Amino acid sequence: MTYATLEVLRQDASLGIKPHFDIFKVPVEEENKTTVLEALEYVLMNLDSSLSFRRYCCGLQSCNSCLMEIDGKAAPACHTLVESGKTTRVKPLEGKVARDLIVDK
Amino acid sequence: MTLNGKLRGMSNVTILENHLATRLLVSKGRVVGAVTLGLSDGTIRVCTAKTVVLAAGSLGELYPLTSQEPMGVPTGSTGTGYAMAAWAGAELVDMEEIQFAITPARGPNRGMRCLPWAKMVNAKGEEFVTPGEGPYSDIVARDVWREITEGRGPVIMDLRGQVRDTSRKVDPVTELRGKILDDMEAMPWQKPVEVGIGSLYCMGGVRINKDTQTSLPGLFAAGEVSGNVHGGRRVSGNAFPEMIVFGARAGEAASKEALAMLSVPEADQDQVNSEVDYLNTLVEGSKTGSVDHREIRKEVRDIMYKDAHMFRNETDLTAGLQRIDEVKAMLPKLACGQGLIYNLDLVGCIDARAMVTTAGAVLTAALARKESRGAHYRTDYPELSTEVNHTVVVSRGDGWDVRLVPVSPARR
Repeated sequence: MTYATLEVLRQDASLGIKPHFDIFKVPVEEENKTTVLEALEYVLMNLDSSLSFRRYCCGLQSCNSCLMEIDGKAAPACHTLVESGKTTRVKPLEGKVARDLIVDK
Repeated sequence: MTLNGKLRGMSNVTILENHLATRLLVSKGRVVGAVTLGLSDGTIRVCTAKTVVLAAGSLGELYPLTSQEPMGVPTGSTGTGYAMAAWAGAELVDMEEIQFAITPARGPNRGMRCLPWAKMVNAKGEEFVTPGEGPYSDIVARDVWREITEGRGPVIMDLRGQVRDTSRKVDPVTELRGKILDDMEAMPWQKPVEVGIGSLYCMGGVRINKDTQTSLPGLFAAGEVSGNVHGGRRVSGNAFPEMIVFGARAGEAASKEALAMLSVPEADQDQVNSEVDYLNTLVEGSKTGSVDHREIRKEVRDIMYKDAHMFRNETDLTAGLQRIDEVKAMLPKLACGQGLIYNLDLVGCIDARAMVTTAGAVLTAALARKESRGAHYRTDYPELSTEVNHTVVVSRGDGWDVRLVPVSPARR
């Protein structure tokens, strides 16, 4: 098993949590690709259940609920891949951040 | 214009976005609204209404692998709608009739339907599927389940060297997802991929009549959460027309009834208080709770995988119900994390309560149907019974009332 590293910008003003990056190691299988959304789901289910993101997947590039800034570019997390041995930096889109990766319109 | 777009343009429609309905309110035998939790700020609202339409989707996530977790990430089909209807006292019909399908077990292909021209081999490299049947058939899904559960797995879907049979239609969702995966170079054209059996669709659900009225006055249901539309097996592609036809009927019937009413019924204050107390207790649990909702989710999915999957029998179903009761006893001790703004731990706790109830309904109904019919297969009763019945389960709080109701001759 190899690992991909995820750097996630966290914050929740209501809890006094200032913006900071948390680093997670997510196992990836060589024979299968892993998306950023899958990696976040892995973090939520196995490493840190307090992480917040729009946890929904239409899988069809139509709902846009998983849009976030991935390595400096706005992209759907469900269709962006993480890579074994590499670091992917994930931030919320520009706007009023409610918590972690969730931006309230 | 889309339905969504049209609704947003109507000044007399209020849309509560990012709100989770947690409980239906019943007053003098009538459903009069719902309690909701605002996910963006934690506000608890009491919404009263002349009529209520339940359109809360499916229960796919009760199983560890499901087509309702496309690309391995959930869509929120945790069975909440069935549970809310059950808590209100509504009848659930044919909850045991759950369709399963072959789907890749790992990676971004997870949850996608298999391609009709795929080759299936077991761990020994043997092709084992019933000749003449494509991977969309229940027969082949059962073949795959046998290989996995009888120790001849993993089962591998191999697309290498297969002639792409374009004459065989792939459903549009699978086609679109295939294209997207192709763009990501994540389609397994060159690499064999492990498959499993995932939940696909629940034919059962909240019992409705042709106008989508449930057994409870004031409550209507449409879409996958409703039952008694497809019988014991759904033909691929028919969930979409179901949604359109019964969604429209629900809207018509619910608005017609609402227009005939003079005032919005009042909610029963005791019931409101009890749900508000429950939600507040959950939030309080962030300080004192000791049970992780993810453990409950995992446990429910394990029970459903072992005891209520494709092949069922009395021993397993009984054991499953017993384990569900044990899980239920853990619910009051849930820990729900910190904060009220998009707190996914809180959502997980609310989902956990629903998953336990809905899993109980499926296990109970599956135990009651002592025959194999439609998607429901009992190894201890492998034949069709001569009597054609629906199973109907009604929650009585600590358990379920179960009865068999003859299917009307016109529908046999």
